[in-house]
Parts: sequence; C-alpha cells; structure tokens
Amino acid sequence: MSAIEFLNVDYIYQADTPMAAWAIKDFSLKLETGSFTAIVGHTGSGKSTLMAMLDGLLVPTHGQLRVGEVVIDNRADKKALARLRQGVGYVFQFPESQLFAETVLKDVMFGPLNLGVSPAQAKEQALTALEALKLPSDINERSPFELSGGQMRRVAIAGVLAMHPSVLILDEPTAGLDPQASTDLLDLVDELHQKGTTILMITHQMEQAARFADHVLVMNHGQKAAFMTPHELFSNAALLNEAGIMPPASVAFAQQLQSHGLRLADSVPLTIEKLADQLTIRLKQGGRANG
Amino acid sequence: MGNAKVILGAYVPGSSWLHHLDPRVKLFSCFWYVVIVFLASNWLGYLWLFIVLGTLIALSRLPLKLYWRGIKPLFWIILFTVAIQLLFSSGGHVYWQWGWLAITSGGFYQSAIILARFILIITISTVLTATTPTLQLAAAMEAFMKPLRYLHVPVNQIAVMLMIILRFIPTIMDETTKVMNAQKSRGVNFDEGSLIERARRLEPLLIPLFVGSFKRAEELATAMEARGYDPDAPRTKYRVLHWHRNDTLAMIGLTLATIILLATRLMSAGMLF
Repeated sequence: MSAIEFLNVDYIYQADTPMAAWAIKDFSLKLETGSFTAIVGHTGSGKSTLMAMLDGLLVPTHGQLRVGEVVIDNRADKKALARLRQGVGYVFQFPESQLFAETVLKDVMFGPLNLGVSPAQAKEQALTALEALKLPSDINERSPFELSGGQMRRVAIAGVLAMHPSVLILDEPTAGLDPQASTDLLDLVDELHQKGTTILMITHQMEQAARFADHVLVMNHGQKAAFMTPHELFSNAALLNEAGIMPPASVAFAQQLQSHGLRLADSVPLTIEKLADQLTIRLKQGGRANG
Repeated sequence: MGNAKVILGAYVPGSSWLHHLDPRVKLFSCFWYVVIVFLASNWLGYLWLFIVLGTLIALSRLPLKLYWRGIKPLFWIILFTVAIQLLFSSGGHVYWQWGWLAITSGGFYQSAIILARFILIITISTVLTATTPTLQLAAAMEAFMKPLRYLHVPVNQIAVMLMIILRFIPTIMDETTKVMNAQKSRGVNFDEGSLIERARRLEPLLIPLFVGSFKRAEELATAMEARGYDPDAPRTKYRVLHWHRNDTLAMIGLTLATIILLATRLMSAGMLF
C-alpha cells in the first residue's frame, strides 16, 4: 500500500433519483506515502464522503481512486474493495458505538481475525494495540460495556490499529475526550505517523491541524478549496476568511501583536511553543515595539 | 449503502395538490380505495380503478419510476402468487395440463385479477406515503383512533409512541449504516458466505444497535420528563389539521369514484343499458 491518488472523482448520493445530491465534485489530489493530512471544512462539505470512498465504503460515481496497487472506479468489484479495506483503517466518529464482543480482547481481535490472521497472531496484535493505547491489561477480559467512555474510545481505536493499517483515517478522534486523553491520543497518532503510517485526520480544531499535519486539505461544497502546508494556509488570511476557518490561537495571537506593531521573525507560529520561542527571541533583542 | 437507496414508503417532498391535502383525507381515501378494489367485479371496474390511480399519480407530480420502485421489492411475491393462481385455479377452457397442474381460462382470469389488485393496492399506498410526511400520517391515525378513548384505550400514549417510532426510524437507519460501515471497515463482509455465516455476522451489527437504541431511549425519557411530560395530561397540538375546500373536493371525488365503480358492477349484471 502506498500513495493515494484521487482522479476527477465525483460522488452523487441517490444518483438518478429526484433526491440526487452532489457530495463530491471533480476532486483530484495526490497524497504521499507516510504523509499526515488534516482535513477541515464545514459540516456537509464532503469530508466524510471522501474518506468513505478511500475506505471502499462508497464507490466514486465518476472518476478514479488509486491506493497503492488498488484502483477503484464505479465498476470496482467487491474483491477490490475488500483489498482496499485491508490496508486502510478507519476510526469513525465516536467509534465506541461499534463495540460488540463479550470481552475487550475479543473485540480488538475481531478485525485481525476478519483479515485472516491466525488466532495466536491476532491475539498478539490485539495485545500490542491495547498496550499502545495505554489501557491497563486487567480490562482485557472485561466487557467493553463496563468501561468508561474514554476507555471505550481507546478500545475501539485499538480495534482498528490491531489490523496494522498502512493508511489510517481518523474522523474527529478527540471529540468528547478530556484534554489529557486528547493529548495522549494525538501523541499516539503522531507516533504512528513517525513510524510511516499515512494519516488522514478530519478535525475542526485548527490547533491539531497546525501542530501535527504536514498538509491541510480544505473542503468546501464538495470541492477542494485548498491543499497546502499549515504554514501556507494560516498565513493566507483571505483564504481562511473565505473558507470560514479561524486560525489557531497562537497564530491569532501573533497577528494581534503584529497589528499593534510588534513583528515576529515567523509571523505564523503554528504552536504555542513556537510562539513562546518567537517571543523569547524578541525579548532578548530588547522587547521594544517597532524593532 | 443504506442512505443511497430509496426507502420503500418514504415521503418525497413536493408541492402538488395531493401533497397539500389533509392527511386524514388521504389516509381515509387510501383505505377506502383498497376496500373498493375488492368491489370491482369485471374488467370495466378494474379499468376505472386504474384510471383513478393514474389520475392520482398525475396529481402527485412524482415520476412514474418512483412508483415502479414501490412494486419492485415485492416483485417475486407477486410473481409467485400469480403463478399459483394460474396453475391451480380450475374452471373454463383447459389450455394445458400436466398431472394436477393445469392452465385454464379460469386460471388466467383469476391470476389477472390478483395481479391487478396487487399493483393497485401497492401503488395507492405508495401515493399516500410518498405525498404525506410520516408525522402527518401519525396525526391522521391519531385522529381516527380518537373514538377508542371511550373504550379506555390510551390513545394519547399510543399516539406519542407512534410518533417516537416514526421519528426514530431514519435515526436508526443512519445508525445502522454507520455501524455497518465501521464493521465493514474492520473486515466484515456482510453479503458473502452461507446463510448461517451471514446470520452470525449480524452480531457485530445488532449488538451495537441494541445498546445504542436503549441508551437513546433512556436519554429521550429523561429529556421528556425533564421538560414535564405527563402521559395522562391532555395534549395540545403544534400542527393543527385544518379542513380546506380542496379536502371537500377530494371527498366528492372519492364518492364519485365509488359510485362509478358500483355502476360498473351493475353493467356486468346487465341492469344498465
């Protein structure tokens, strides 16, 4: 599994009926292997439809999608879709709603077993995944329905990671989690990215996009509004305004300083830490305005 | 995918004359039409029923394809029933015989009647459900259940239950699609393998749906109680149904259609002409 490529992809819900609705229009994009892409845009802008196609859950109405060797178009058969899903893992929004097995371990082993992995191997993959999510090992034999909300979320994510996907899609993985759990989860995603997994993350929090992504895809009305690095995106005020995106707090803060006459060497600090560094440099230079 | 299919019996938004009729009129007329389908006694009667249906379809301003979609899921059941009628009915001229199977003119006649009734009844129901939002239909049912109150039937509670059921059908359908997608993404193939294997595969779908539904029911009950819902209190309506001139016209139309159908019966009896 390697690079992802969308070629002039359209998706129409209920095509050929009075209720036909365009969800994706003439979408083309190429993503490198091992990249980390944040996907932002309003509700109904086509983010989830796009990701569903990438996981073979929807088939493009027109156009073509390539993930490594697998090519998907509207004539794609079930085998091709199954092959696609083997390499792509999808952590849905509120994934805890997909738990079903009697024990946590069985639930996490479910995915690998479906891929045809031997039970012993599946168990090993499940245990590693549970460990990676920092879940205490004494919950393995408990029912997933006895766990707290945050733990259930992590078990569900472990269920996807245990399948060792080379492309991982996450749909707002931190929604409803407390700050500490969010940070832990994002650090884990970043770690997977460092190890070479291609990551696509739908998010409404620009801080997350700015901190982790190497590219941001902005969707608007089913079309690609922008695809650029976070630095390029958040320095483009006109584009942000048009897409209705608020820059991360650190960027907004730097812009406020700038409007009051304090220039930083990097006017788009993507994280609070970078902003702090910039401010330190300025202070050492003798923090006068208009320097 | 679930939401890519047109759901049987789903409302199709529109602003036709039929869409604007009072749901009580539409529900009663649909019911009445089904009754008079069984009163037709000759081909003239059926012809008249088809003319009435055609007029209603035209008045609904919805594409014919949609009505065909209503019949399609039941196609095999219809075919089976018609075939049974054709092969097992006796009487009249015998065209073909094999053991106790026979195709007779009586069989042809019987199966044609069954086919016509199927098409008429299914399509008139589709006319009703396609032009009437489900909540309005529930309001109409409630209106017709009102007299049962005197028999101490809890009409109010039944109406609220009915509304909740109808309100949550799309939610549960959405939820089904979501869980199905999540499990497909985890490598489940819902439409392959033997019947037992397929039934087994429903477990990862049904358990999350049950858990979710119970949770939602509890949340809904809490929310309703928090807002002071009392099942025994008299209910007021947000959307009050009003009778318009068009509703009177529709009832006149229905009466005329019935009289003409009865006339076709007399024709066959030779009492007319």
